[in-house]
Amino acid sequence: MTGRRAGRLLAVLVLVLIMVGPLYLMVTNAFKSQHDILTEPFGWPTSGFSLKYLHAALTSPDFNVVRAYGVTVLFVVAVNVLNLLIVGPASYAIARGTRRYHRAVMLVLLAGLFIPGQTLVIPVIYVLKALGLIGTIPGFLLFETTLTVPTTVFLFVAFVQTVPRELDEAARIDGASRYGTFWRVIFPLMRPVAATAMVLNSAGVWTDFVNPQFILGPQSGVYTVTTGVYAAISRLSTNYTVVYPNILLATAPVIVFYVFMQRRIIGGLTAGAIKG
Amino acid sequence: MPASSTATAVPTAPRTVGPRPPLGRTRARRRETAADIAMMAPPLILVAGLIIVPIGIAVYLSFTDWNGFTSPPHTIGFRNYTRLIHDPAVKHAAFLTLLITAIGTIACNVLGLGVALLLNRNTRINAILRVLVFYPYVVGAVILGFLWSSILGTNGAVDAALGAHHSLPFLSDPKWAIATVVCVIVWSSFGVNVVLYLAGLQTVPDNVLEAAKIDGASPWQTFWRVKLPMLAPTVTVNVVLVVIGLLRVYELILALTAGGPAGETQSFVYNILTSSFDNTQLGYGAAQSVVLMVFIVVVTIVITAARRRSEQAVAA
Amino acid sequence: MRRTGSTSTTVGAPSARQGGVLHRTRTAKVSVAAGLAVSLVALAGCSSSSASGSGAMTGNIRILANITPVLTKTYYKGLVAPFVKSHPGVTVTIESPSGTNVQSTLQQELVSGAAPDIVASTLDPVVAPQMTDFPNASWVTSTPLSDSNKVDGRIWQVATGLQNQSLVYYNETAFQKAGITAPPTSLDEFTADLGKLKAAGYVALQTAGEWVTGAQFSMMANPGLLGGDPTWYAERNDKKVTFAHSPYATYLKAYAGWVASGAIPKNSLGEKYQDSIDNFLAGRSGMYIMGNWLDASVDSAKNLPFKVGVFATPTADGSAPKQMSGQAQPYSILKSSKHQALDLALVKYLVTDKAAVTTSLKSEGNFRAGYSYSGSDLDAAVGKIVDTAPGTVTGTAGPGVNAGFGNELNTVVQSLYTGQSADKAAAKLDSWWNANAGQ
Repeated sequence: MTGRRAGRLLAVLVLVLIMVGPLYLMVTNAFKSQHDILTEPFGWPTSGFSLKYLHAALTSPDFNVVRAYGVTVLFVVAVNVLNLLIVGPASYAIARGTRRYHRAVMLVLLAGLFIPGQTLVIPVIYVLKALGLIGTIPGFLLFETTLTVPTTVFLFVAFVQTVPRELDEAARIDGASRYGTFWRVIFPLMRPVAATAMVLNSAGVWTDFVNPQFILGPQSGVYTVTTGVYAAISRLSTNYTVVYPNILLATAPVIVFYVFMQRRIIGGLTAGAIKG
Repeated sequence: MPASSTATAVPTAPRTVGPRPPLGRTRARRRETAADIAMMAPPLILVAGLIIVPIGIAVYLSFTDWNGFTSPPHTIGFRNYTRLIHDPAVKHAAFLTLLITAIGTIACNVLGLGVALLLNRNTRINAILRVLVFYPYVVGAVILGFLWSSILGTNGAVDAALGAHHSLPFLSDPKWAIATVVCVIVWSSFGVNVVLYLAGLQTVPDNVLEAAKIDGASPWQTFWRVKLPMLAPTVTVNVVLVVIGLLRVYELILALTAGGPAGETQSFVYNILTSSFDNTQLGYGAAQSVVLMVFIVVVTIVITAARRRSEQAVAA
Repeated sequence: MRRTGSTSTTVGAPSARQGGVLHRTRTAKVSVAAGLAVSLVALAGCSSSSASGSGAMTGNIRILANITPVLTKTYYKGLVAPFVKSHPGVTVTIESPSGTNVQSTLQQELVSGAAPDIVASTLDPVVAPQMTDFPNASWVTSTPLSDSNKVDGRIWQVATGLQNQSLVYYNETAFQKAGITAPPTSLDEFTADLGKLKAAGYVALQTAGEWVTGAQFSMMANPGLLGGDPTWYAERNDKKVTFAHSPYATYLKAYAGWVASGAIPKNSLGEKYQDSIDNFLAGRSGMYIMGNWLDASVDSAKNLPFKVGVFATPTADGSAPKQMSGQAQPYSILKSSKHQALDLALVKYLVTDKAAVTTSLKSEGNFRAGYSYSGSDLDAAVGKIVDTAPGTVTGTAGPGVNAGFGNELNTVVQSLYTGQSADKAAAKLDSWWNANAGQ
């Protein structure tokens, strides 16, 4: 029994080490000089910790990290709102539908489930160019929202099918329209599944790199956290006093957010998995 | 897109339609249909315009020599396809991607399930550890790639700690670089599998485990005979998710190795984007995209079919 | 929103037989689409950029610039500052490449139809058709290499100066310690000296991953390839010659030998360009093949513990090589730019204004006839090599060279580190050329 315990303890220790190690380096080295990072990457710096590298990264003329955060948060919110507005009523119509075309629509909407976004970049550029939307925020948001449709439809339809039809009937007798029925009666019940969808979609938009890189493009002058960090450090990747502070600035707020919201985030994912 | 992919919750088949409704109700039904279509149209337009049509355009462009800016594209038949069969860069990228997918799928699932079993009991420490394994998911591949490259690269943290004479070629030797890429990918994504397996383990009813214990089953036997069979659907979800995720790996490699050394760590998607934008051969890039799309669809169908068959075998 | 029309037929099809419904359906759908459009337009508000009328001498000029450790964003901003000051209503935005380099970023922008106004970088001629012709004026024709870079008889790039790249920088202290009395001139001598440097405890030849490996190779091998046969690339296109039986094969073999002997450490590929400069300047390596822009990095290094010397890259027979040289800090104007006259005025300023040109030449230690600046000793030493060189050759991009050749050469040279034989590497170049010819 003690052998098992020791094994368990060892496994946990290794796990903690490999997960915390990179975080430790990221945090401590963001406050160290290049010389100290190169000579004592894991240790205490001879010249002490300093805030000046973080300050330099915050005020860098190449990459405005605060603006990138604002932009990315706005994108995440916009995609989630669009997603709920667009997919919510459609999922309801499909879930309640009894006709053959409902099923057909469902299949079309699920078509993108297994198509990786990156392989669509080239033809999507072609389409958005024809629409005059390439390199614009609306074009980018439309495509990001489209990429969220299949998963969300999947989750929503499955959920609405578990909601008794009697609720709709009651609302209809009270004279509610179909939209009214959905938004006032069904949608409030969908909170858990909507949370799951929002977790998945938010993480997708937040960590996306290819689409802001190619659909939004450099010409828009708009950088998300990922494309901004890439632009800021890919050419300076040997200057660790630029790399570590930028990585810290890019990750710290989202990690803090995650730690506070972890129950909801992990819970949301888990709810989705059990549904699945 | 995690979690949902293998759900079987496709809408129920049309209910039997009753006797022809009287005239007054036809009008009501028409109004229903109109509202229905208005509700379904927005996502349908988006998906049609930005997924279905682009798939068609990708197929069309794959038969052209389009370079992206001189219009219009010229049709060149199957030239792009015959070319990619013989292109050593494409072959290497395909091999590398399959290798990453194969090793990564096994590692992510073994680690995911292993750590889930380790953290299954609801203690405070375990709750913290669950948060810890999952954080890479919210950080994103590009940033993780840069972080690991400054840890493992030449002059990186590990190199500096080992001293100049003991440095290890994590990113400079091709074999090491491929191994490093696989390890970092697994590191950054197995947390999702842990979370999903934990959810799966919660669906194993306590009384079944109790019964196994009373029957004198060892923990090992309980795992293989009781837990794993009940986790079968979770395993399928996890396998499909990891396979789809790894077949499209790109961002992490871009930030970690930028495809080097000697192009040895260029994945399939990396090669698509290089062909398209660095070599201005968007037609050729589109052909590679089409191949990848077809491959992913086929793999997904095969995995789900295999699952269904094994379920039927269990049922029989 | 043009798509709405075409999709509505498919969506509307099942209900078409129900007559009047179709009409109402469409209005409902259109209103949804319109609502969507409105909200998106509102969001777009924060990204719109102002465009000015054609030929206007005011507006914002977007310059996509090659950013290096020396040519920083601040450098470019300083360079255009006097022009901006003397032209009210003009602003200049310096954009750094968002892709792997300027070429791929520009190509991506061309694909999306949102190219910048001016590009400040050497470019592959594949994009020449997208560039405005420069007028046949003396200020244009007098810019360096304006003639040899023409595509279809059009000048599409004007340069500030010349860069010479077939140079080997060396650590004089390391040479003394290794007992090397005179810089090597032939490949054999070079190989022997690498051995001595390694024995003396140095990284004999400094290189790096990224683009550096292939660039250094071409700096050394292109004089061999093109020195005796300036039309070699054209002959390769006609399949009269092959890489496998070219001077490249000789150099690849020598290079493979250096890797095998440890004169070039295998883990060099893990280093970045800046690492290689840092290592050389820290006195860890003996020799470093690089273009004359390294002068700037050497001269700006403080308290260098050793003296840096320079000699021309070695040749098979020990004769002085022609210099692989290229346009330094060239500019092109995109045809799609909306204020051509303004762009032209800015480019003219950048390549003719005495102060601007001198700043730019000095920034990288570049050359231009008729412009002089007080350079360092190292600049003078490079100048001497250039003056005595028997001529110039081109690099790995230019008219008649397949786009992406530089990248491919880089990959192939790097493959020598992974055990690929020199013969196979040369053969790989041939098969790549055949596959990409005319693409």
